[in-house]
Amino acid sequence: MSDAPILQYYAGSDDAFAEIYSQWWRRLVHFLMTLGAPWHLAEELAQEALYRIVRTRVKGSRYEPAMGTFDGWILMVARNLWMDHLRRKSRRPREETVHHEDAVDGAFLADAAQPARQEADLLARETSRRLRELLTQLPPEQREALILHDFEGLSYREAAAILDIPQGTVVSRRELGLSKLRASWSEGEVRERVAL
Amino acid sequence: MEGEDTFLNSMRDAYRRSRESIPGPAPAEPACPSLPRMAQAAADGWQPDELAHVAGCPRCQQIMAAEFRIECPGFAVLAHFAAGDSPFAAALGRHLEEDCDGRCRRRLQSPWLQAAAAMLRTGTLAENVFQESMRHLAISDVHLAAAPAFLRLGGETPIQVHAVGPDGLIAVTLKQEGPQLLAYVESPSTSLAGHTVMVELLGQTRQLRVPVILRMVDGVGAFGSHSFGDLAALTADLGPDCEILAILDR
Repeated sequence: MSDAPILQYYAGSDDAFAEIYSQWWRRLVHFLMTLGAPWHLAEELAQEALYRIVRTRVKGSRYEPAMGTFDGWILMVARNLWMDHLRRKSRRPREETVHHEDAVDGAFLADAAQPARQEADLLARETSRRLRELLTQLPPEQREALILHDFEGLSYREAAAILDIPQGTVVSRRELGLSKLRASWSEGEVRERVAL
Repeated sequence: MEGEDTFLNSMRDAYRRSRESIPGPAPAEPACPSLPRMAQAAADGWQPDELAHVAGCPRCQQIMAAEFRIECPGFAVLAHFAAGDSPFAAALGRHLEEDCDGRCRRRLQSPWLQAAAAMLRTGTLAENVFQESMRHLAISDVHLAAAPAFLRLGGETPIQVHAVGPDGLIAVTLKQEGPQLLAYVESPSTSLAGHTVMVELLGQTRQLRVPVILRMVDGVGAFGSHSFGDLAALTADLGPDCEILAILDR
């Protein structure tokens, strides 16, 4: 997504924010879920990320094109919220947790009530479910590098800025993650063929 | 064996489909202020009808909890919370429970804030008078934790904090002098000579409150001071982080 809507929003257009909201809601919720957030928490953090973006017109540091792409900026805001949540949670170990896949399935079950969704391709849905499952099995640092670069489309430089690590570390983590993802994927396919 | 590009493309396609299957946001109620409006109102003030809605709306309370996570609420918001008539009660409850590093909990224990809350509750303090009184409020964080180590080193003045109220009428300086901790209150206005400034030290476990009467100084202003006593004992008593608050008592 270009940075035009946020700059229009800063110039006073609330409609431009509505465009940002509609384009980013699902993307942020999904991004946070693939990082490990349960569905309802992912929704709450996505809402907070969007509120933080909104708030920069009134207070705080605004996005500027010199900082990198808007995509990288908003994903960094969302990822930081997730990390803050994990830090808070580590201080309150008794907090109830929801298993990631249960939550994802919960999202899809809720979504199944929407008629348009009922026509979705079951095979594609199963492929997506498997991908999410395999992503959650990757070590978090490899998962983040892979998601940011390969699935969210950020450059290595942008991913490195978000993760606060050297660019070369992003490259090596991403390669390790991709290699493990591919191995797990192939393993699953072999198991399915044997089962047939 | 698939090529890497083919594999990656199929994974990207699966990721995109997975994203598209995420349900859209729950629809906001018609009375919910938009996010841009909430950000603006949180900074500049709310309309009464907005507040009436926000008070009972879980979605709006969730957004206000996000606002308080970004920036702790001010004294006015806390005072109304203590008075039991805050439109942000749920958001503040969550902030106090989950996010706040202790500052808001300390402030809620302030004798001045509690007295104001009691008067707001009974209607004996008008909102505009309360808002005006906060123009004469000076407050600053104080980190007492390092004090004992500095004391052992000797010769240092590790604690010296200074705060000025929004209207510049009241300033307070908290300063370590030897083993003692002293508060100095000053005002550029000679007309405040004879007035009392309430000085509070808000600790994690205890709050101290003393009246400081201002005296005229050489016709250039008004001045008063108070010793809180032994710093090491205070640190043990108040905890490592506290705040000093000074407010004109009218």
